[in-house]
Amino acid sequence: MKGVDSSTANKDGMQNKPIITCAGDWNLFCTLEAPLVAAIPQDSCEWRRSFGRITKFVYLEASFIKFNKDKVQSELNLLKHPILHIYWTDCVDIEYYKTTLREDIEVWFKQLEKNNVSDWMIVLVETYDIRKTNKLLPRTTVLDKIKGDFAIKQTEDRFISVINPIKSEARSAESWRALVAKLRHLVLVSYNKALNKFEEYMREQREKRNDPEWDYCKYFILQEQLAFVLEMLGLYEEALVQYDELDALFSQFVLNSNVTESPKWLDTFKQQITSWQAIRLTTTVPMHLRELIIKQKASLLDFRSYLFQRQSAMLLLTEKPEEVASRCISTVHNTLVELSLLGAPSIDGASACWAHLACVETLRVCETCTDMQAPLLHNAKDKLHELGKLCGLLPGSPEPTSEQLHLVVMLSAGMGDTETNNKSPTVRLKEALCSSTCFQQYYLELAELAMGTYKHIGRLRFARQIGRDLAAFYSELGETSKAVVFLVDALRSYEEQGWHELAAQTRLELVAAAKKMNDFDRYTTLSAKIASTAELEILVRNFFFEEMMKSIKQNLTDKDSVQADLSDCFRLISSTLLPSERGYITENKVQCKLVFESVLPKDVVCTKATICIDPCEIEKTPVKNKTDLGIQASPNKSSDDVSSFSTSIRLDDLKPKNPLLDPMQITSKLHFKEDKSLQKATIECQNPKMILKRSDSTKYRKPVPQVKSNCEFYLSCTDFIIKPGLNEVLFECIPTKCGVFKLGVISLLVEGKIDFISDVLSSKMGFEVITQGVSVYLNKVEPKKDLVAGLEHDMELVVTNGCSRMDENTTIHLKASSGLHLRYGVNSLLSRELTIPVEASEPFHTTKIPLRLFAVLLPKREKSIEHTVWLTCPWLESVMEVPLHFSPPMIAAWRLLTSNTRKFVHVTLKSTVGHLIQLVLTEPKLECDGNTTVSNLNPKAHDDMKISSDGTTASFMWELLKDPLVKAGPMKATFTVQYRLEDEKVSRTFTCPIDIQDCTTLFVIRTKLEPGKGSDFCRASQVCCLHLSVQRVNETEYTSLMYEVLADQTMWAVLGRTAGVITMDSSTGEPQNVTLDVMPLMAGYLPLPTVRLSKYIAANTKDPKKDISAHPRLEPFGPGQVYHAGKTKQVHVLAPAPKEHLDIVV
Amino acid sequence: MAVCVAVIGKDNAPLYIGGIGIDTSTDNELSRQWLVHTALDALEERLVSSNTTTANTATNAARTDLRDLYLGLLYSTDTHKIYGYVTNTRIKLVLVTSSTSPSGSNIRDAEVRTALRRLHALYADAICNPFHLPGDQITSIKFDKQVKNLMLNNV
Repeated sequence: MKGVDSSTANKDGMQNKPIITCAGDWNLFCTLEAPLVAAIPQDSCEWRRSFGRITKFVYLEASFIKFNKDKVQSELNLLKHPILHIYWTDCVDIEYYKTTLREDIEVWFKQLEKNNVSDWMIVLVETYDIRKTNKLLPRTTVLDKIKGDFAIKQTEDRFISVINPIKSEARSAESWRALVAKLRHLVLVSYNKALNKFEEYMREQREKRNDPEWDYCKYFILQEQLAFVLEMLGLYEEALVQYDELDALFSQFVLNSNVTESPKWLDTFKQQITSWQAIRLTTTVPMHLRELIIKQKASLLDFRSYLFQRQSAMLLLTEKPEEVASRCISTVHNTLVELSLLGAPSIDGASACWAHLACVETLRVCETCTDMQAPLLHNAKDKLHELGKLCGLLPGSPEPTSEQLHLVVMLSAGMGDTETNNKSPTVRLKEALCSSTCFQQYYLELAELAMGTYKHIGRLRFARQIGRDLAAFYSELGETSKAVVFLVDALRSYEEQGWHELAAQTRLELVAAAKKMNDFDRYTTLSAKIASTAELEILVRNFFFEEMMKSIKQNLTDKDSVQADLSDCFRLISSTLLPSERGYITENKVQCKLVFESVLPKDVVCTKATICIDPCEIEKTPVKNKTDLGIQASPNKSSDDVSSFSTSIRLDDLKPKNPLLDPMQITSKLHFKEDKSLQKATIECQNPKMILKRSDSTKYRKPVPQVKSNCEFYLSCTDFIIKPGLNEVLFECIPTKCGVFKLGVISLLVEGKIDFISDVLSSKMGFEVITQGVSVYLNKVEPKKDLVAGLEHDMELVVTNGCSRMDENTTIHLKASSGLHLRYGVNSLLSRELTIPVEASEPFHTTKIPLRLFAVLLPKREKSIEHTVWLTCPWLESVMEVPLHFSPPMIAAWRLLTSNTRKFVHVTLKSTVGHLIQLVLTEPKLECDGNTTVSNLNPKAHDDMKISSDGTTASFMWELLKDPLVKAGPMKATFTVQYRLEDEKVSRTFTCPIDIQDCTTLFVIRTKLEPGKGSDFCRASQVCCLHLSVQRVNETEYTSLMYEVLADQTMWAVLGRTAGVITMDSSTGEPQNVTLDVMPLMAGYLPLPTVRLSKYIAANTKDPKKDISAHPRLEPFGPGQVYHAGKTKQVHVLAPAPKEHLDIVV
Repeated sequence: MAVCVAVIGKDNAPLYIGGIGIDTSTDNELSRQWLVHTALDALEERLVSSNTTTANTATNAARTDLRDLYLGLLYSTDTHKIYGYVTNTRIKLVLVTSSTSPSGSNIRDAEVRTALRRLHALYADAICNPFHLPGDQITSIKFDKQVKNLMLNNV
């Protein structure tokens, strides 16, 4: 077959030219042929076509043949059929014309008419004659004669005279141009006619396509002529249309053959396929294939090859190589479908061979358009793979069997002889089929190229698809590491875009690769992930679960744990920080409840689970700068931040809000026309911008799994079983540092080997840890009772450890203020200073140390006694001050009582303690200084004298026995009494000092009321006489005294002076008497008016130098110095006298 | 007619994939998913190119409104043809036909167009369910049934 196409193609097909026959003077024509052939294609000619088709400008060529009357081609052979007939003559002699030429033309015409040809032309070649032009009226020329003889109305323009360009070139140009133009015009007119006729015929033929006798091949050749002509005229697009029509017709037949009875001619294409030569994408017509079609011996592949090559030729001529590429793909696909539909027998791989070659050949044509290269490469790669599989060339397959070797030979033969060109696809394919090394090289080359091209044009999914194929190939080749790269890349993209099933599939491939590579880390984590992939069947999942467990036991025993993504196998539902009763403080347990769902098919043991807690750096700064001026705002801010932490989070809440779920602000509105009738009802959106706003379509990308090592603090939980489904785990930790912490990465260590690490849980969740120091309190044992001085009290020193641990040998030093004594231990002594050891204890332990406390009771009459205890603790820099408030057990009140000159001391004891106490009083004693003795007037048997704080009092009485010889002066006495609590045995002394001023009785006042004169009784409203007597009973320097009668003005009215000065004679003890008139104002037993006696110091008139005021003044006597004898005396006053007595007077 | 129908969300994640047909080692549900997945590349290419052309000329603005949602054949393989359709909200509908089956090989473009339009209507019905969250996978049994019917209808 070699060279068949190249030799014949030039004569036919592409080299088709319109055929023009020449009659008449052949020799004359021969001289003109060369310039004519050259002149015709030089310019385009407008081709007007019938049926409203588009007018085109067409470049024509022509080939001339001698008119042969016997060999007039059928009109239906468009290519061989002469399109125009020209009669050439150079006759100038009319006589010659009349005699011979006319006859000759007549014969020619007859022959044309016989063949029903109307496309002709008569050219008269003239020699330029200068004389002729000079003649004004030329004689009738030969042309006129010819016209006159042969022309009818429409054909007048078919007669043309031309000046022979050979003989006089300069003058002929115009007429020559006219000839060529006319020639072109007539050729096109003729074609129009011919094509219309042809198309009609063609249509007729096509209508018969359902005839059983109809033959597609014949029809193909028929219609192809039209394509050829159109191609010849340069109308490649229209030529392509012819081929496309043929293509569609054929496809339809094949497809229909599947459903209906197939026509007989289709059997041709069902024949054995023996040749699958590469297509050649040139503009030449592959004649050998055409021959086969004409002979009805073409196989489907031959036919398809031919058709595709012709279509491509048209496309290439119109410079559309990218179209070639896209058609190539569909042609290949269609052809393969048709092959299977028709069931044309062929050896395995023949079609793949053909498809591969078609793709690679097409690639060579469309090197400029990368867009289309990728699918071609992809297809070529796939087909090569198919071939490799058939011929046992794939890596990992056993040595090719003899059948496979035989197949290689068969396939190579079917591809036909190759050119010497080494680069040709056929050569490469043959080479590749011969050795597996070549095959692999070729395959990888194609695949890498395809992938690269896909990536270049942005078809990443296709690229990854090829990546998967490559991965499988590399995996078979043993280069698993290369395979893994592709698979990981693919897997990531599938996961990102949510193609779970694809991701699951890829993971299965990846896990196989990992196993091959002995990459146990990856194998284990992938097994875990696969085991939790819901898209896979449970059997597969269980298998990989077992694999995971096996791998942990066998392969990872001597390794560190491997990291995996928590979301692979577990889904976090919520996490809650449990509130702690003490708050989040150091050394106190912080608990976090984590709810998650396990998607693993079976139980696993989690050996250790942690939630990382990250300290927040920002929060620390304000704490450090506490002394700064600018802290006012910052602590607030930090507290705000802390309060913004949430303690509970559901993972669902973390998802960004779906804007589509927001209610639209839509209102309905009714629009009315002017006449109040309803025009339309609308719904309106208030702010469409909000709704139409572009939402962020970027997907949340998984961050790289957190490195766990930077996790200093964490909540943890150990050894629990994770069940499939919901799990609730309590995490705990004891914080050791203060600060603000955020919950971070969650890690679940499963089976001790797989460490599932999550992303950072949420930046919102956290807690603040504060520290709690040791606190010391000095407490009353009975807090409701007041502290009472003079009694021992049980106290306790309470040491609360807080967050810190109490070391051994810790002591607390106590120091009390003076008058306060402490006792530690039962038998130890009271002392003002104590050192108390505190035993070692754990945090939050409370130690209570019993103490006894005694405040010395001072003989003071204060109502409360303040004391202080200073505590010195090793953990405190300053000394702690504890103020204590004591009250005295009882208060003594005393009075000096006078009876004439006798003096008595009356002591009253009263307890003022707030709570109820009962005191037993014994041994009351009054001790006086100096020369005063006392006589005890108290009953002797008073052992059980008790007072209690409910208000009962105890009274004691002594008489002061004063030595009358001693001059009276101030004196001191002390009252003591022994007291004890009822249940105590030891009594303590209560002391009350008594200061008595000069108390000797100096004057005794006596008052007596007597009725007025003439009355026996005192009557109200009657003047009575008040006798007042003042008697000196002891020596005194005061002689000038003033008396004042202080009468109750409701009872008494003093008539006259109520006061007066009396002078006591110092030498005599005679009483001074004064009489006053008083009148009782009411009846009854009335107390006598009291009399006050004061020292009267007269105005200093004698010696102005003395520092005594110029006016007289009064000074009171001390208590007890004046005894008013009748102080409590009462007189009976009768009611006023009856009235009638008065009436009588009237 | 169709062997597989897929509804793909705005973010290119599948919302629904339904397939019918006999599963073989080379032609099964998974292999069809690969086809649908790679079809997205071709589909996006169409969208981008239609976007740029509309952006280029203002006169095309009017044409955008009338833009055909049907994108035609996205690509084909030896055994399958993949057609695309995109809604105005960028929900992608993909239909896969088998060229090996008698009905699939003979399918007309217009038929695919109608089928995809019907699928669009079914999709719209399905997401009109007030309990359906836009962007979630379509789990409606009714939708599944209707889509399967749609695929079978033209067989």
